Amino acid sequence: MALPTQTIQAIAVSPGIALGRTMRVTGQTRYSEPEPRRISDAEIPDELARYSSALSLTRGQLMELRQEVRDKLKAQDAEIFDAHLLLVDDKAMTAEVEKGVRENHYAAEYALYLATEHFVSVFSGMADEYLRERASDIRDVTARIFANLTNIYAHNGEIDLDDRRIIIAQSLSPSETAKLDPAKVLGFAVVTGSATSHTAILARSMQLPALVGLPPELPERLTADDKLIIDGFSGKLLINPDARTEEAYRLKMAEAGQLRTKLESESELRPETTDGFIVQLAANLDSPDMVDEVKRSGASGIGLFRTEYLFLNRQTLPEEEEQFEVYKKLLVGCDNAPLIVRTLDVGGDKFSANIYRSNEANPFLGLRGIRLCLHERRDILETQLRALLRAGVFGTLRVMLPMVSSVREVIEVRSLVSQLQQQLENEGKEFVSNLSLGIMVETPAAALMADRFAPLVDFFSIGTNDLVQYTMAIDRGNERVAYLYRPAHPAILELIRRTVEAANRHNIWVSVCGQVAADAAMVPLLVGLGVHELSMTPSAIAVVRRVIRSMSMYEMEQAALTALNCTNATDALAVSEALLNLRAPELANI
Amino acid sequence: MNTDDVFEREIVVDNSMGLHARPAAQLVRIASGFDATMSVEKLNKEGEEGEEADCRSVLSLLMLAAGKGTRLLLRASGPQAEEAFRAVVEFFESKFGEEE
Repeated sequence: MALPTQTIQAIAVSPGIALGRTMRVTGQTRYSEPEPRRISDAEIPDELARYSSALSLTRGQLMELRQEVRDKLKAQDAEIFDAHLLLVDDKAMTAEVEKGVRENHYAAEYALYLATEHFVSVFSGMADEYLRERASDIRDVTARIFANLTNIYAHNGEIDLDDRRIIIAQSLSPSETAKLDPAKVLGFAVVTGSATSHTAILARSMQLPALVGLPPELPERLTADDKLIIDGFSGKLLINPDARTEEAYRLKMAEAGQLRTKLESESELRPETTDGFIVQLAANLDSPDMVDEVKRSGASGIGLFRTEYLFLNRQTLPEEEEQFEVYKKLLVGCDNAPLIVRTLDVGGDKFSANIYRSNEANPFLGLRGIRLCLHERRDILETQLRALLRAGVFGTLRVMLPMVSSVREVIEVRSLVSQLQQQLENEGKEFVSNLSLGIMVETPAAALMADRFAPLVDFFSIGTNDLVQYTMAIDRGNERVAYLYRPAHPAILELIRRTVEAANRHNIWVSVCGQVAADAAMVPLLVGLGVHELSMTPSAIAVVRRVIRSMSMYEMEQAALTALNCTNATDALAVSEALLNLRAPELANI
Repeated sequence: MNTDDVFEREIVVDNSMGLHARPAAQLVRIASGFDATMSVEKLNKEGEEGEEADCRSVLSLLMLAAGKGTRLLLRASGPQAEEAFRAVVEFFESKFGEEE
């Protein structure tokens, strides 16, 4: 039964409007305790048949995934799915589930849940750390079977996958978000997540309107009959809106669509302020497949290529040749436009057991980024730098180091680069002799010491997501302190100001490659503070170009000065928003 | 060959990492290739029998938590028991093909 008309205030994490019916997703990598539903004797054969078709669906999906991974990555990375396939067919597990159904008359979901908890608790209690970790494999596989069991109900009835839907879920993992087919999905609204979670970042780059912070009980109450509107500007979720409201939103969507088309047609125009200052607009890249999209957006180059995807979700590390080919292909694709490659930044929330096993209480304050590479896995850094030095001859390459907090780290990397160049020379290989090397400014220490770093590097790139986290002392994933995540906070603006000032004194340039570079309301402040380049997800470039073209450097500088002197982030942001509304009011609804 | 024959023998886990996931998975694959029922039973120091695992279940094999030096009693029965038995003993003797 459809819910009555109502509006829920949630948190907007990706702009846009979506209008459509509900599609509830239970999630593939998680499952929660189901109702302990009982079945009658007569239902047992059907229940077992349902379980066995869920198993064969799961088997098929895992084989498909394994093939996909084999094609995209390396054969050995597919091994993990072999292990999962064995678990799907595991006799002990199947016997336990069947026992639950036959003897205790439980529905398959509940029997599976109990069997999983049984095995997980045995493994979790083992002394051997390696075996303890198998508990997560069991849960992974169970979550897949579970989702298939639930979908078997869905396929039998209510959910029709032919039309596009709004996804409602407790939470979506980054890989689930990435798998959403934009042709089938209008947008999504979830209970847990934050504006800076990877899931939200992906939603923005897929241009799907998204909300987080729904009331926890809401997903269970919504059905396919419920018509929803996601307002990715105000953060509202409208449930079964009346005809007038719906019409108003349809009109807004049409207008936004027209404006977007218009903005995208401006990709050839220079990102120049009304008084003649040019701001470079570059693109952030997670995977090399996106190069064409970058070109269409009119970006001046790639301001941040994250190399983590080369290293994570696989069992062996990429060798020099493999990396060399990736970097070379990208540089050739860039056609002499600059490409900034960030060396491996793992640790924190990105983590892989084959790189470093950590038991740190605070991984975000631990061995992460350049620290990990210099102290624990110098071999990884060496291989990566060698591949970069060799690929550099194919275009305009710049290399950037993540999580720098002391000058010594840069000196160490510089001397490592010299050694590697000598090595390559001795081997008779081609390489770049004057590597352009920069640092990410994402710790307060790096920003405060910018004048000491500047003589040693060729550029700065400010990573605002982490800079905000480390300056405000908040955990990005912690919903309770999410309200403190305010990039417009005067403390952050002050750190950016110092960084730019030091860079100007030493004649090097500064880029901002964090989330805020794509935020129309933050752009006047960043440009006003003197940042030379903004690097963002390619889809945001059109809007940012319009912002820059609609105002003068002078008024942006004035806004930045005023914002710097504010006492809080809300006031600072209001200064910028006022300027934006005055000069580019059309952007409020895109 | 009498199909009622039961083959039994004590074997020792002899590689440094024990019977972990990869060899357990391989053991399941070997055992599944024969028409035979096979199990391993963990023996304690005195040679008494303990937990038993089905050689076709990765989970039950892993639950033995059989580290290096663990003594196991291998049992096989069924039409292809002898062949299966030989293949598994060989697999254990090769230290799961992991060490020289």
